[in-house]
Order: sequence, then C-alpha cells, then structure tokens
Amino acid sequence: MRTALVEWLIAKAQNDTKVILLTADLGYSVLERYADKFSERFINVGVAEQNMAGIAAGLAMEGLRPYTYSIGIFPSFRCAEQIRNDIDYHQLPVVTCSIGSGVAYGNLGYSHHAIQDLSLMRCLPNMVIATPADPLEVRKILDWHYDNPCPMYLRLHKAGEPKLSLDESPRELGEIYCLWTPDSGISSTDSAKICIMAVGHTAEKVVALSREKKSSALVYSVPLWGKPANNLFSNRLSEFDVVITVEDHVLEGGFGSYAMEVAARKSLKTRVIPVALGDNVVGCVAREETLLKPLLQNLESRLLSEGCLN
Amino acid sequence: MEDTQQIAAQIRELSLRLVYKAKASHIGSALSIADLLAILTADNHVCNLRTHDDPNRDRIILSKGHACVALYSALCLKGFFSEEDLMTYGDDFSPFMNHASHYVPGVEMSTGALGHALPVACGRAYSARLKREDWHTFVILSDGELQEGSNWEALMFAAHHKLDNLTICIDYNNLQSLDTVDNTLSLRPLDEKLMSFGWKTTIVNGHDHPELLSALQDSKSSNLPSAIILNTQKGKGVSFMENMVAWHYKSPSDAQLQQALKEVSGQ
Repeated sequence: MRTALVEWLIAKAQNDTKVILLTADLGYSVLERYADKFSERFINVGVAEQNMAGIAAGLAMEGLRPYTYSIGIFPSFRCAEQIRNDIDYHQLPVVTCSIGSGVAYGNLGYSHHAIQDLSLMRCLPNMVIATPADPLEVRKILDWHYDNPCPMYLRLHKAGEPKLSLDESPRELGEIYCLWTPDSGISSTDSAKICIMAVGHTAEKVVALSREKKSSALVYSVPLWGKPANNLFSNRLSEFDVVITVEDHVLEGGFGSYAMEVAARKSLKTRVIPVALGDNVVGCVAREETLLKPLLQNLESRLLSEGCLN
Repeated sequence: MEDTQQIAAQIRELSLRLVYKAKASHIGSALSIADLLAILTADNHVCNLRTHDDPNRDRIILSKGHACVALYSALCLKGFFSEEDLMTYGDDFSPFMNHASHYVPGVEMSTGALGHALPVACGRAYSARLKREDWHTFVILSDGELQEGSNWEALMFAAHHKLDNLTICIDYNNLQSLDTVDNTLSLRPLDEKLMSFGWKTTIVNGHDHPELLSALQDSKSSNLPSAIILNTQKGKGVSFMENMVAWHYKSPSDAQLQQALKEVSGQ
C-alpha cells in the first residue's frame, strides 16, 4: 500500500506543483524515489510530528496540497492537537498518512501498535477516514481526495498486499465496495441480508477466511468513511439486516462502533456485530499473524452463529 | 506614517472597551502588545496589509491568541471591518471570539492553544519561498508559551531551512498564568538560546516605537530567520494593571474602565 501511495504521489507531483510530501524521518527505501525527483517539494522535518502537522497546515493555508508520512500512531496521537486545531478546524486538505495499521508492527511493541488511531481521528468533525483494502483502493482514495479536498486520515498497512478489489470504479465517500461474493448455491437475496464490512488490512484476512470456510456472507470494503460520511454510510448500512464489522483496532471508537453509532442515530433496524481487537490482544506483543488469530476466530464463530457457515 | 502613538492608544482603548463589554479576560496580555501591533499595522512598508486577502500581503499570526482584542482592534483601525462588527466581540456565535478567530477578516489562523502558530508560520514561509513570492510572516509569541516544545521544533526547522522571510516577536513581559516566567520555568538566557538555534536575535524595548520600527525593518532584510525579543510590561499603559498577574483574568469595573481609558488617552 505504501508503494501505491508513493507511486501516486510521484505521478501527481509531476503535473501539479502544489503537491508536497512531508515525513517525520520515516520511509527508508520507500520515499527516496519521490524525494530524488521533487527535492524542493519533499521535507524531512526530522523527528518532530507536532511540527510536521503544523507545517502541513501552514502549507495548506497557502494553497499547497501536503501529505504527511509516518508510521503507527506517531502522526496522529503525538500531534493530535495540531491535527484538531490547525488542520481539522481550519478544514485544510492535509492528508495524514500512517503506515503500519493495526498490529502490522506486532513484534516492535505496543508503542508501534496503531489500534486506537481510528477513534482519535474519527471524532474530528471534518476528518475523512480512509481505510483501503488493497493498493488499488489507495490510488482510488487519493484520486477522490484530490478532487474533494478535505482533512483526511489515510491508514495504510505495509507493502505487498494482494489485489482484492473486484472493480476499478472510483471510490466515493460513505460507499461500500464488494470484495467477495459467495460461490453459487447461495441465493443472492439471502446473502444480501447479512454481510461483512472489513476495513483496511483485515479485508484480506476476511476474504481468505470466507473463501476457505465457504461463508455465505458478502464481504465489503469501506474505503472512505468518518463523520462527514455519516448520512451516506447509513444508506448502505440500512440495506442489510445484519452487518458484521471487522477491524484491526479496538472496539472503543473504531469502525464497529462507528457503524453502531450511525445505525442508532438513524434508528436503523440493522444489527451490527462488531469484531475488533480484544483485551486478549491489546498490549500483547507478537507477530501480526498471531495477534490477529483471536480476531479471526471471533469472526468465524460469529459467522457460524449467524448461519453463514455450513 | 500615521502617528503610531495615537494608533497604540486607540488599540488600547478599543481593547479595554471590548474586554469590559464582554467581561472577558487577558487585558494585560493585549496591552502588552499594543505598541507592536501599532507599528506593524501603521505602515504598509513595514508590514503590507493593504487588504486582508491580497495574496502578497504580509502575514501576522497571533500565537498568543488570548490577546486577540489587541489584534481585532488593530485590524478594525485598519478598516478591515466596522467598529459595530467588532463590538459583537464575546457575543454568542460572534466571529469575534475570545481567542483569535480565523473567521475575522485579517486573522490568519485561529489560536488559543499555545505553541501552534510557529510551526504553521514555518509552513507558510516555506510556501512563499517555494512559490517565489515576496511576502513576510510575522508571528507574535508570548514568553510563557516558549515552554511548549513544539516551538523549539519549529525554531530548529526555520533555522535549518534559513527561512529569512519569517520573524518572531516575543512579548517578554515575564508574567505567565500564575507567576513570573522566571519563577515558573525560566527562559534565560533567551537571546543566547535563540542565537544558538541559528536566529538573528535582537532585544528591544517593546514599548519604544523607534526601536520597534527599526528592529522590524531590519528583520525583513536579514538572511536568517529573525527573533525580536520585546521587553514589555503586561498591562502597559494602565497604571493599576501593569505587572499584575490578576489582569490576566479580571475585567475592569465601570470605575476602573473610566480610569483606564483616561490613562491610555494620556489625560
């Protein structure tokens, strides 16, 4: 996903001198290609996330299109007030990019687990949350944002993710995009009533599990959501009786609680079943595969109890 | 140039009336920078503020957003909005909020949390250079807010990138929320710190207009980012407010307002 980001930035910066990339001293072997080409529009601010967010706000106030780059929760938590006051309140089109979503840096320790970032960023009134399921969605999200300038938090995994998208249509705010449909034998009417909405990297795991277990639930990606998408997203949510949400993030303030809040606010009949990282994972340090196992076991048992697995 | 003493007196008068009317705080902080704002806004050659939306205007960013009445008053005197609009200050939903608000014409960004404006100013100064535009950014900082680490990140950045189109004016009145800066968390030696960070540093009497004018003019022709340390008095111009922490919070009574207005108008 980070490769897709950098390739998109290089292509865009070629045609638009307003594009500028900032990093807080991260991105080794990732950002060099951009930096070599556009040295004037590449700033390594040093290990200083508060300054990076403030500088990005200042650049955006002068009409530039800044993208800030870091990993984990460094570009969100460390500079939360700068994002809240300087970027979001002034409605500036700064894209805060974070690599290593969820427990991608599992072994590096709790300091590197980005598992509360969604709750912090999505309470900001103007912030669009972007959680691409694959590299294609990274590009589509960036295209959308380029045409719809606003504060955006882009939550990326690492590199080498497989393609999951079934179509190359533009990605829109609050919309859902099918990543997997059940094999024949399941009537589309039945399967449409229950679905899985998976954000970010978990989509890959969910699709693999659905395929392996022959689940009858459709799997969707939700690439662009957050408070500005409340109304649009509620339309999609209302199309289902049951929505199982999956995320590599804690339940508190994450995507599942977002879906529940939207459903409650709109008095939808949709029942949301949130599958999120639990207490048995938070604070634990291990490989990502290991830390995501309880999440997938939880998903499997939910699918079973909802009658989606034979 | 208009008589800057007169402009400073008008800024003080309007600030007092605003704080009185809204029963607001921070009058001491506003009086402290009235002279600086008078010099900055009186002459377009010092700071180009012909119109508030001219892309080539110089940018004044008030980092110590709690002193907003002084900035609002200066911008009102500049003609960016009417005194009638200004007097909505502190009303429910008025754009003239009790901390600097970007909904007011001429206010470059909303502030109130300290340590935010200098990083943003670095971004704006960097942008001007990138776009080959010839305008200057002035940031008005308090002394107490230099205890925020974000300022020192930005001080390093501006020096590293030689942002010579950036000037900071530090209102060194040596009073912060509870006590003196010296007693709370001392900045001394501030000039040496700034110089060692790579900033052209000047110390002036922050109420001496010729000194202020000369330092501001020099800062525009420097090849380094410039820091002007203004030795000031919190509450300057109103005898019973000068150097008193209490006037970080209190708003004047009827009698105190009348007395203060007399003093600032030189009567």
